[in-house]
Amino acid sequence: MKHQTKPTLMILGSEHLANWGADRINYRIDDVRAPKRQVELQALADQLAQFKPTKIAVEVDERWETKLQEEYNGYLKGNSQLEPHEIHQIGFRLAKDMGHPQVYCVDYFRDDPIVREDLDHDLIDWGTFAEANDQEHLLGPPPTGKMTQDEDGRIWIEPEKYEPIIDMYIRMNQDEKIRKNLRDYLRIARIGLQDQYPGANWVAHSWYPRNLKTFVNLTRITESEDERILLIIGAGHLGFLKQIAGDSEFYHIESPLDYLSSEETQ
Amino acid sequence: MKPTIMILGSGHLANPGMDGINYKMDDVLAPKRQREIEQLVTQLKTFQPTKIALEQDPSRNAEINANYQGYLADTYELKRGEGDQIGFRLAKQMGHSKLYGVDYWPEHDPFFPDDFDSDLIDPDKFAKEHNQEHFLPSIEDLHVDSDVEFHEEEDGRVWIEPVKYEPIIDMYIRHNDPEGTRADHQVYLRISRVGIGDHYPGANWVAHSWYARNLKIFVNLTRITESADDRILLIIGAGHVFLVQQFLEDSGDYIVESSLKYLKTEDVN
Repeated sequence: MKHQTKPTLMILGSEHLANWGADRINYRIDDVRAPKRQVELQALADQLAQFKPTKIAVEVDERWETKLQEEYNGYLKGNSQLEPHEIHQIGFRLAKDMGHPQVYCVDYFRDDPIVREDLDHDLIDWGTFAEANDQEHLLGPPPTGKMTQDEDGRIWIEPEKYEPIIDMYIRMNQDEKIRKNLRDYLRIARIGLQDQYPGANWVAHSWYPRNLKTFVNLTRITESEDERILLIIGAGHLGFLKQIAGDSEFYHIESPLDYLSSEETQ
Repeated sequence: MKPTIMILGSGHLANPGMDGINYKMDDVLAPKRQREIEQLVTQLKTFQPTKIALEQDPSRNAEINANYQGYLADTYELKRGEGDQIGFRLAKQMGHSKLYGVDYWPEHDPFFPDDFDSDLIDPDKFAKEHNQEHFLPSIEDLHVDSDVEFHEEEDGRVWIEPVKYEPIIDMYIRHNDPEGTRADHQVYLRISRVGIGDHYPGANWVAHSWYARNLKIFVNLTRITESADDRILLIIGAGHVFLVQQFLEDSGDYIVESSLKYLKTEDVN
């Protein structure tokens, strides 16, 4: 292996496996605690272990580090079962397999003190602005597939066929997906007219700062050039975060695609 | 078919001294400098721009275009700034009826609270108080050759003065070198790291101020784009080149040309 003079970062884009429904459009997945899914998740963790991460970072605000650590300690002692989300299912599982004493929280997900508390919501409400001003084309093409809407108005895309977990991660981390992710945000940024910039305001004052601070938090847990950090994060963050980390030239960046391969899980 | 954009990264020819570290330019109204600028404009003309965009807030468009009309009517003398010296000259030669301000520099930003604590967004101050000066821009980041002298003013602004005469076109070739613009952007990402614990003065400044401004410059460029035949030339401070160009490329909506394709060193006498 060639000598690296920089620390290494690998970002694994993920769906939210626990069906949190946190987004406008959400992908439904069957219960990952089912035995077959558990076999697949262990196979995924085994493949990711080949990266030999020295630290695993997850999409949890850094304020919750103590609570997450308690959960991780409980799991290490065998006192608790993994919850169905990727932070536990992939992060905890792999951290335990690697013998890590800790899992790191690097998200920045809270009210930003820069932005005024009484902010006029219209300033960032690009969805409403686009619909009211004939800019729906900037919202992008509607999702395809079998869709359902729940009583809260959230849209769920239902799986059409069974997809093994590893295949799912290979699909989500393709370069073309990441490029499309960037294109989508830059298109949303264009929503607005004259001195109104609801799209750019949301991207620049909400979405980008969160990603930039996630990068900053990663640099803060990076202690040496030998560090090999694996970040597990919602796939929507891949575009900005990978670009920021790459442009900074602070890290040597690896792709999870170099470690993942489909396998039979019967 | 997609519209085309070319960014010309520029120094600030009129020495406004707006930045922490500034290049000192001799008087561009001097005859030799004027000949060099004419040559630069002739070279840029081969790009055949349909529109010229400047680093000015769109709220100043009326004033800019009143000056431009005066210049066309021979009643306005070009000032030292790059907008006048390069933008107006080239727009006239191309027969344009107006120029476009695409910067975002409003008097009041509705995002920030009225009782805004400026420490939240002041990486410079925080770094000096917390031993993080290694994240701040330094002379080494300027990738200047050794033929310069540095002068620091009482207000802390640093001026870089060339020892050797550099023709204008060579200066622009230097400002638009992709390795240089990439290195400039890296400095911003390094500044973003200033902070400890709950404090993110570096990331706050980079995201809410610098990134937001550049993203809106990109948005303003899309708003002046009318058709796939548009060929827009943006003249802007060299520090903006990397981000604005990255937005244009990542959007997938533009063909982005490099100004280096049009700039060639020439002898002037």
